[in-house]
Amino acid sequence: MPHARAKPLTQQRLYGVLVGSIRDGQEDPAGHSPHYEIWVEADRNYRIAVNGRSVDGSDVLAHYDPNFTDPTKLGLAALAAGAKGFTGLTTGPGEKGLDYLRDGLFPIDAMAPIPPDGQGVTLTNLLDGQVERAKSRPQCRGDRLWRILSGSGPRPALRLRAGTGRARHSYDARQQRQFR
Amino acid sequence: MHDIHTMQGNSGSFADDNRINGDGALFIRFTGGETVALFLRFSVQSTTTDDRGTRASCTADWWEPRERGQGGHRRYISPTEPPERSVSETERPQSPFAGKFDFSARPPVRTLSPDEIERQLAAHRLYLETEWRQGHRANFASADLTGRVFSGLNLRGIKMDRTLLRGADFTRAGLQRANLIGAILEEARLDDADLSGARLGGANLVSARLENACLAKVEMEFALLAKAVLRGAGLRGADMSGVLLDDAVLSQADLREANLRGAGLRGARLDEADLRDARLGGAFLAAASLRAADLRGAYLRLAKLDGADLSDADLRATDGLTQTQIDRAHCNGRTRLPEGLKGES
Repeated sequence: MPHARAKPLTQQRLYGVLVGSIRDGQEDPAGHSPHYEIWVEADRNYRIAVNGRSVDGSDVLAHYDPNFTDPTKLGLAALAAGAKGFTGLTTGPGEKGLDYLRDGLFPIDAMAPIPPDGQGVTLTNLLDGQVERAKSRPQCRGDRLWRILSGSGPRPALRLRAGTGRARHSYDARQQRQFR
Repeated sequence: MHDIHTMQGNSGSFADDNRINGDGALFIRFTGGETVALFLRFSVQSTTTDDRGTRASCTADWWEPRERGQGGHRRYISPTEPPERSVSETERPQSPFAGKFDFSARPPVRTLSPDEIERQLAAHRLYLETEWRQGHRANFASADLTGRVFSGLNLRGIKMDRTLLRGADFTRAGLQRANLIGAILEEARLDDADLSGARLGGANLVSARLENACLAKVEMEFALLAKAVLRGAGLRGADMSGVLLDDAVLSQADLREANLRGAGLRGARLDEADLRDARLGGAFLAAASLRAADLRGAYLRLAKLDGADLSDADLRATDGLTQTQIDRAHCNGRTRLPEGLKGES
């Protein structure tokens, strides 16, 4: 089956790292978007869309490490201690972005298909559990104890300011639906 | 933010996404530096790419014999490095998260009519009353029974693996040796239920109530029990390795000989819990409350006790406990420690 594209070829995208605090998360309640959505609060509100299923039914493979110790090229500890917000990164040879195949972050062959909901530890209940941890400690949200780092930038449909990677408009339900 | 996955090895309409040093991942970092990581990719993405992130089969010829070989060689290979051994499908863990459960069969969620549910329950009741001579064991595997009331019923040995049971009421129900593997039991009510010997591996019990429930020798590896209430529950000998129990209430619970290896118990309340001879190696007990808990004989090697409250707790004869762990926890004058260790008052 071809891997169908769900976004226009002409879209401009920005790659980078987002540091922020988790506010909430759930699988798309409308059920027609194959994503688990996480609301992250940083310099503004962001919606993180994590693929739980592909658009064409092909498997999504995952590797989950509950005690990840590699600092990565990005230096996770320093990032977590730094300012919240999105920082753009360049990609390509010699650049700082993450690379599954070259950085030795985890054994690539350990990736396995995500089971569907109702069949044990799925992406949804795994992320639900982690988000619950964040939500259960509201006092931690404001002091940067809860961080979420992402390796891929928002779509231009979020109306990025050129060169900043920050959304011009705040997170709201209408905008979320626009980009499903 | 989209594309939280690898962005190389694509073909077709996604080929223009290809790049190296530009993959997406999710990291959640907790107090004390503990970090969980999630990496995702699509099965159609090649893991053999060149410096542009292009599928290797589209580039140099020397890749091709491996691509055509058994299973292919699916990783980045530097021209200066010898190829590494490929891992066959059978060597892979079945689940990316637990690695212990068999998710190879993927039946869809079943919708049962109320009549069918009642028929199955009646047959199950007969099956138990006649000691398996009549009726049959109810099979609700993968069925949607959200919010259903089963309180007080004898459901011993019932099959409810991967069943959707969010908000269901099992108060005082008999669920001995039931198969609840992978069941969704968020906010379910299981107070005073008997789940001894039940299988709950990978089940989601977030915010469920299990007060005074009997969970002796239950198998619940990698289950999710964040914010669950297990006050006074009997969990003696339970296999709870890798369970997530953050902010759960386990006060006065019987956890003797329980296997809690690598379990997440951050912020959990374990006041007056009986943890004698429990296995807590590598468990995350940061900020947990263990006031007056009995940990005699427990195995605590590499357990994280940062900020844990050990006031009045008894840790005599524990195994693997170090002074560094104690220094990071809170003790009082009545905390009893193994010989050679000192707590601060």
